Amino acid sequence: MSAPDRAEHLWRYTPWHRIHPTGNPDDIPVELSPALVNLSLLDGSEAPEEVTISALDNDIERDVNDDIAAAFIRALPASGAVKVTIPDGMVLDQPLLLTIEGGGDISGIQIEISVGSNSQTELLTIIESGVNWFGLLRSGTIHPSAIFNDIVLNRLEDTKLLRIEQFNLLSDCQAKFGTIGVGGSRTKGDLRYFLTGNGANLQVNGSIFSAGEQHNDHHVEIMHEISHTYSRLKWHSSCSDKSRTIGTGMLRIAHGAKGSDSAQVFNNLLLSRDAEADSIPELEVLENEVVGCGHGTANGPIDEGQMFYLQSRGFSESEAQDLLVASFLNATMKEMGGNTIHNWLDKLILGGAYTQT
Amino acid sequence: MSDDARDVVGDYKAGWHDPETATIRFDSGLSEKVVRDISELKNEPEWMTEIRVKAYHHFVKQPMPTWGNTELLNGINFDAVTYFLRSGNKTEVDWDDVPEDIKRTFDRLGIPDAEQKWLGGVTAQYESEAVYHSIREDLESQGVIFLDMDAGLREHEDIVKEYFCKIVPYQDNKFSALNTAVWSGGSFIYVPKGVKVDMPVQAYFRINAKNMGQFERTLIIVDEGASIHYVEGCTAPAYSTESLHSAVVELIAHKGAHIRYSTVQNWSTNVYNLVTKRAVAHENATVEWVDGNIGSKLTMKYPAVILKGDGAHAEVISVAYSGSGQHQDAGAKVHHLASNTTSSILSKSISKDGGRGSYRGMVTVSKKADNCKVNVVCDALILDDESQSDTYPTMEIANPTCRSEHEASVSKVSDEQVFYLMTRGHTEEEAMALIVNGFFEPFTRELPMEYAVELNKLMAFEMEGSIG
Repeated sequence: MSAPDRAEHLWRYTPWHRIHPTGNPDDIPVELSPALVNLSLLDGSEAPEEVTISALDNDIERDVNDDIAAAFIRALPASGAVKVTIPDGMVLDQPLLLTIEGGGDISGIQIEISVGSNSQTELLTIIESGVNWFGLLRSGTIHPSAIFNDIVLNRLEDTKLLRIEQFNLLSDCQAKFGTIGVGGSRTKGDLRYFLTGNGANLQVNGSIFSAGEQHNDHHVEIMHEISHTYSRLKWHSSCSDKSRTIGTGMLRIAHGAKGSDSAQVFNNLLLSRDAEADSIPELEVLENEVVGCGHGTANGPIDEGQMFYLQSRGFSESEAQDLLVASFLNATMKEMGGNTIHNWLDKLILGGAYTQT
Repeated sequence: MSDDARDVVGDYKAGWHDPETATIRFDSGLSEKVVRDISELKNEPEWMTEIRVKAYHHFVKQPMPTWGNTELLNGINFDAVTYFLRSGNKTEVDWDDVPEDIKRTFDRLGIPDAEQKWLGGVTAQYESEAVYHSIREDLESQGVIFLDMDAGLREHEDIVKEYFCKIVPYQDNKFSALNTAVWSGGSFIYVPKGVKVDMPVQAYFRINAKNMGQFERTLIIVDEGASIHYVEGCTAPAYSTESLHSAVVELIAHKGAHIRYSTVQNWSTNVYNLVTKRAVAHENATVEWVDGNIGSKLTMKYPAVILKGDGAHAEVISVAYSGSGQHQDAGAKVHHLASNTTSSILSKSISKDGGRGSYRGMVTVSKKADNCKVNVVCDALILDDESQSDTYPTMEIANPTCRSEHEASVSKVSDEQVFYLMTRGHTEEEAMALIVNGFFEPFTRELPMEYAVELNKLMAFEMEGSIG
């Protein structure tokens, strides 16, 4: 497979060689350490027996459209592959917690997720490690009438992260996919969601905190392939120091996807002179009988009025800024899951994950 | 119009053609010799010939753009195109002296009538060169230069040399290289300091011959505190084979100057319309592109403004209608290089009968450009389930003081609006035409009235048969 053309906006800001583990696009590293994976409940107790995590045969044919990045992760030797299965009808009060810890210098994992019909579950995936490069390939199916909240929290250290995701949403399911980015030195995310069942309902939220020299590039594709489907995308990024955030998207309404209702918004907060925020939210609409289809982007600095108000209440300039950045990022984070998961993430914010000063 | 041509272009009302009466017609195909011959025929200075030849070699090397509608682009047969065709012996200044057949063409398009009523000057280009040119005496006496580009080069070589290819270099893209190699005709305008041209000046471009390539080059320089409104219209006959229109437009708005450049493009649907338009706005200058794309098979056109001076402003209003077999890939580009610069882009498109309308835009704000404001709005209507609408905007913001907004929406014509108009006695078809004209209103209100009336008629005509 040849290196992709930078004329495609997917690769415009992070060309393939810059996210490749060795920088040589033709290289497939042979020394690879498998990642450690653990599944439990968020409160620390064991996951129910019915929710299974099992090794996945890496050689089986999969029904996904691999492009270079997905094919690359699949081609990595011993990267490990697991399948998480949530059975039909499973209802959990407590969110599932999947921790992934990379080892060695280059590490990666493939995870297939099957969310059973009529189930109601939440899954928080945390990626942590100090490896140089990590590849995460997630794919899966949300079966009919399932309610599923999924959050991926990137807490990597000085790591390049290549994250590829492809999910298929079947009829009448309600799925929320959230991304919280606080770690990693360079992240390239390619997240694709296919609404293939009537009445499928999707929300994608991003809360990206970029500081130092971080480079966070997320591409989100939402494909309405059938009638009466609904999607919303909200992506908030803050960008300070010399960091750069990129939000690109493709919202596609296929011919015949009547009654589709979709919208996407990318908002960027620029906090320093050396920071940069780029957005390319794309629309392709091949159907005229749509409820609505739109997108928007906005970039701007912190509101001076809000800063003044907080400072007049006794906050220092840096405290006021931290608070406003946290609330900006919380605007999308609070949409990601139920109260339990949100309270847990709240502690993360109070613990200083979004504090730059 | 022949039957096979009608199959291709439908009921295009400017689609007749006159018998070809060329005084000089080059063989089809492009080579260095063709480029040198064009230059020699025009008796151009050596520097221009050299630029042409360099541009030709760049064109040959440069690959076809990989974005836009590559399938249609790759359908262009450059060897089948005629790169130069001269219809008159000289550019006339008296309408009565224009050759009868050409005069008849422009009479049918209403050009001399419009000049008498509401224009400050007119250039009419037929095939490769201008056949008629005039400018109001009072403007001429104030030092306004309005010539066709060939005459501009002959009479004001120093100004042309200073600005030619500086805003759109031939290395910019394959089609700017092609234009630079074989350009012929177009407008050259210079407005001196402080002169405000109160009536629009107009250029009208007509392709008459089959497989013709029209490569006009327009250069407009508006000096400090001056202003001008330039209007261009384009039509071509309806042949079943393709023609190529690949223009380059360079605008320079000096400190405090104001340029409005309005286009109503109504090429027949056998024309590839691949145009590079770019302006530079210096301190407190304003550049407005008002761009209407109704015709052509494929249009790829993204009028650009480089905001180079503090306080400069860019405004782009673009509308596109895509009917059967058409792809309007239009948009805008604005680059904020200086502080306190502002830009506004409004794009509206309608797709019908399997047509495809795309907005492709780019806004960049550089690190040094403080307190910039950007607003981009794209609205699209899809009138049936065979058509397509796309939006491809790019925003690159590298300054934390910038406030930028972009929004886009795609919808169909509201049933409530159609119902309301029908309760007031309109037929469904009339109601649709009214709604579509209302949708385009932000564009038409910026046009001179005669153009706006004509555009409304044209859209009502396009809406015929849109119901059921």
